[in-house]
Amino acid sequence: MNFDSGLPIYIQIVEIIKTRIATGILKRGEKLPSVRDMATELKVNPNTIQRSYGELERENVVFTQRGMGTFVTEEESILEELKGNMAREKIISFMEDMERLGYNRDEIPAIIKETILEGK
Amino acid sequence: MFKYAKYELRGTMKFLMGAIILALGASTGIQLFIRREAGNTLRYLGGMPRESELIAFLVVALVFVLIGSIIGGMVYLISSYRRELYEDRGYLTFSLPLSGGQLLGSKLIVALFWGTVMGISIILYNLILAQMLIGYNLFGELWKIAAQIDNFGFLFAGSVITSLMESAVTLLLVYFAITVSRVSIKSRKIGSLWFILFIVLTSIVTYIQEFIAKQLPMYLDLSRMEMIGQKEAYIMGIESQFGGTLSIQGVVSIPGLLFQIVLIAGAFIATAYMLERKIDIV
Amino acid sequence: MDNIVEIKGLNKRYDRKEALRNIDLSIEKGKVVGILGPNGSGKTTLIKLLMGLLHPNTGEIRIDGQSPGVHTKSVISYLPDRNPLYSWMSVKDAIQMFQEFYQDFDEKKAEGLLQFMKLDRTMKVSNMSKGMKEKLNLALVLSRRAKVYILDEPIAGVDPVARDQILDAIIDNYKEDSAMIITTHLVRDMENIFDQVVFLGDGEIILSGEAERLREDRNMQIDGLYKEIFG
Repeated sequence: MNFDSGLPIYIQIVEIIKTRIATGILKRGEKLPSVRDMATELKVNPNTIQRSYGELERENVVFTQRGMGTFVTEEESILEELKGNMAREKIISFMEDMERLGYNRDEIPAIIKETILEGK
Repeated sequence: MFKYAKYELRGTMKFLMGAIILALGASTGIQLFIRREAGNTLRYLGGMPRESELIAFLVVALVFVLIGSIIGGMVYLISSYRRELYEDRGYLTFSLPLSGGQLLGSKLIVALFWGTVMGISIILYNLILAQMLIGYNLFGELWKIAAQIDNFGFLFAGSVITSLMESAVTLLLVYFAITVSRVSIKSRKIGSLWFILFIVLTSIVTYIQEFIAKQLPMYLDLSRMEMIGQKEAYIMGIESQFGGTLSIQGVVSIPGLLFQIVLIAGAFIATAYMLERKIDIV
Repeated sequence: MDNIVEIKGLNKRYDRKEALRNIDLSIEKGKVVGILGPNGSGKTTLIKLLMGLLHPNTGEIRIDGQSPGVHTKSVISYLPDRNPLYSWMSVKDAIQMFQEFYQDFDEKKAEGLLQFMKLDRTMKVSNMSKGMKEKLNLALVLSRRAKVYILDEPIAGVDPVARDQILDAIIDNYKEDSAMIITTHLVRDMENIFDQVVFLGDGEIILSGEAERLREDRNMQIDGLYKEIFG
């Protein structure tokens, strides 16, 4: 897997896993692939996966049960917050892109509405 | 200890077995040819005594084929050693957890083994074939002659041991020369000058051996199992014979023998050391 | 935090070829270290010195506490950059040899890897393509439970499909108490598996460090860093 330049891989993997959780690929309480399986899937060093899982655990997005594996959190509130944060990041990124195209912030909601209506 | 010897044996098996089969085939051809020709000549000449006919057979067939094939086999085995030091296969051999001594020992044992097998199989085959072609009880005759010689057992054992030791010395000097050239000279072509080093070493060693045998006259006469001093050695005409170890009469120079043992040990240790500590596999 | 490999002040001179100057390097158990550099930078020389195939001019090498010799060879599993197997060998013969010489050889694992690589036991080395030989050698090397694995250019000259198989096998083989040293000039394909990277140029260590750290500090992937250093 080719990762984006700039960010350490473990952080990029954290994002990948968060996306999978937010989009429902990984459900609430579901067991994450083992470190080894994940490493093979993404073709990275298992230590890197370990680090990513550790980071996710620090953020309480996942929890580890000794001998059993790592699981997505059961707490709905955390999952909601995760979704919300990701959505916000996407919006901010979108707005920055729009601004680069020359639009200013006030113009953006109108364009969005327009695009949605067209889509119907 | 000789784990590696198995693999060396398997690696060299194809060529050596081929050489033996070739030699046996050639022997058969030569013997049959001579049989036919000699048969014709005999009829023309009015016949010759059986014994001389036999000797003619054996000498021609054996000498050509035996020496030729053993030299061929040894050249092959020596080049196999050389390849170990110069080619890709060295990556495997020198990555194995083997000491220099184990590696060298394996090569040596396998070379001696093949030399012996070749020699015995060709000689035996020729004797049996000759016996079959002429219908002469060769083995019976040889056995009678052997029984008449005093202490034939010791003489036989003595010759076997001394030939093995001579071969070991030669092989070790070859390995030593090849290894030294490899360590000191980077180029493979120039490294083939090991042969010159080998000749020089062999001459020196032979000279020293003769010198020692002369200076310390202590001999063992195998046919009588008795020690001989200088006077008697002179009378028997032995003194001039000690380039090798065993004189024609079956007398061994004890100091000469000891020297050989030391030489074998020394060459072995030196070569093994170089293999382990000095060789660069490029 | 054991250093299973320690190199101090290593120097190696050849008349014509790669020299190594003042190499200092320590490698811990459980780490995957990439030695990166263009051809001729000294990577293979360094590896051969670790293996005892070359002897240093000055400096010290310690593997599992010992200098290169019979013991270190028994604890290092080495994949050279060329095929070393004897041409008369079949796959079966090669397995037998490994089994005999290495206590840590795992026959079951070898079976599994051979199947994974689609290699037949009866095949002879002399009949194999370059890619197949590479896979066979790798299968043998990874079937050992060694303390140190050294892979010299494991994916160079190999087709993309085989490349993936090889990378999978390497990642799958990761062990916590072993170290892995991999040399390559194909950084892009391999950089994600390294804990540590060492940039070797003209016989000297130009830069070394934790891969993720370097990515963060330099704000680029290792591949980019490589191009910057050697471009």
